[in-house]
Amino acid sequence: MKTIDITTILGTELKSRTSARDFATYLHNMKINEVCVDFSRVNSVTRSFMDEFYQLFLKAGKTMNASVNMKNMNQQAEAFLKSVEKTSDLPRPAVGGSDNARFVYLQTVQQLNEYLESIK
Amino acid sequence: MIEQLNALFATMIGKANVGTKSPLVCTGIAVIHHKPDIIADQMPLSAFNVLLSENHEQCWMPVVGFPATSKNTDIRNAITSAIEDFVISESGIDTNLAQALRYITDEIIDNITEHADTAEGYVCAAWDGNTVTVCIADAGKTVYGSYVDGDFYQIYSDQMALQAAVSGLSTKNLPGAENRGYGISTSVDMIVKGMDSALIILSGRGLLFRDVRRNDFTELPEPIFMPGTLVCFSMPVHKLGFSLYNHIGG
Repeated sequence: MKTIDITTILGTELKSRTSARDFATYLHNMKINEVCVDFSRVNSVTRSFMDEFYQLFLKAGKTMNASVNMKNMNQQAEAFLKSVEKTSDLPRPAVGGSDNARFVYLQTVQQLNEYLESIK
Repeated sequence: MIEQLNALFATMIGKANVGTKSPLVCTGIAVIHHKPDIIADQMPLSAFNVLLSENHEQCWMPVVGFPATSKNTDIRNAITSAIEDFVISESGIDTNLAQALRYITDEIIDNITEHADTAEGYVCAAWDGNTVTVCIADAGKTVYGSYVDGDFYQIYSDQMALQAAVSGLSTKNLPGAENRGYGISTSVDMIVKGMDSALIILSGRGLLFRDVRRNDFTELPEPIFMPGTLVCFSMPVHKLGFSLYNHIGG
């Protein structure tokens, strides 16, 4: 199986969902169907990147995109991947209801000033 | 942060001409006028770093405009990393909190790229030895506008849109989008529960003010209107025991 250092394609900071999609496009254009992705030179990764990566390459039942293994993931990448895996099948949150949320309706600038004063 | 909000609102209704170095006010004005202090992608990265370094020991980073389309990922990543490196180095923030600052900044900027449908975003920051304040904004679609485009008919105001966003409901109405929406919710959790600090989100006529005591979703009166979305958060420079891994969901 071919091994690719992901930083040679995306750089050392994996910050955005777009980057994960760019990687999928790269593999598609290079006609790579099976690959081991080396994360050893990655400095930082966001949860959003790992979520997109997971959706594109790792989620059970995905039919498009290359088959991917990963190696040398740092603590941050491992933690985000685990988090993404755990939350992947949770139901979509309902609209409405939030931790002790308060809903404030202000109709005039005077009311706004009073509100801001009250939360100082 | 309340004083900064007051000053921004006063500016919006034409009552004040603010000259103070406030990240929230300066970023809000940049959004309204589409005019940052520095347009980072119109110069080599080395020149951008030199410009940033001119603010060495000023406890301040001017409003930086960064490219926000999906076509400029490499440039945006380089600019964002340079900004984060500068703020972290200058503020002296501890390593555990620096990690969170990068996480929150990157997630908010990725939200702009994914949802705001705009060419440019803005970042500004200030620090004082105890606290770092970062403000990130865009003049694109509001949060409510994103839900409208995603056919979320049950969301019908800026206020409701903010509540939905913070709850983790992604504006992308896609199959498998259940796992989206964690960027904002985990960032809020880090700032409020992890750091005992505060966050403001201002979008259209909606305002969220969140700290340990308050979770207020406010519908603002006319003529107050943010033509885009602005997120402003503060965090301590030191916080023993904080780990971002306790707040990333799952």
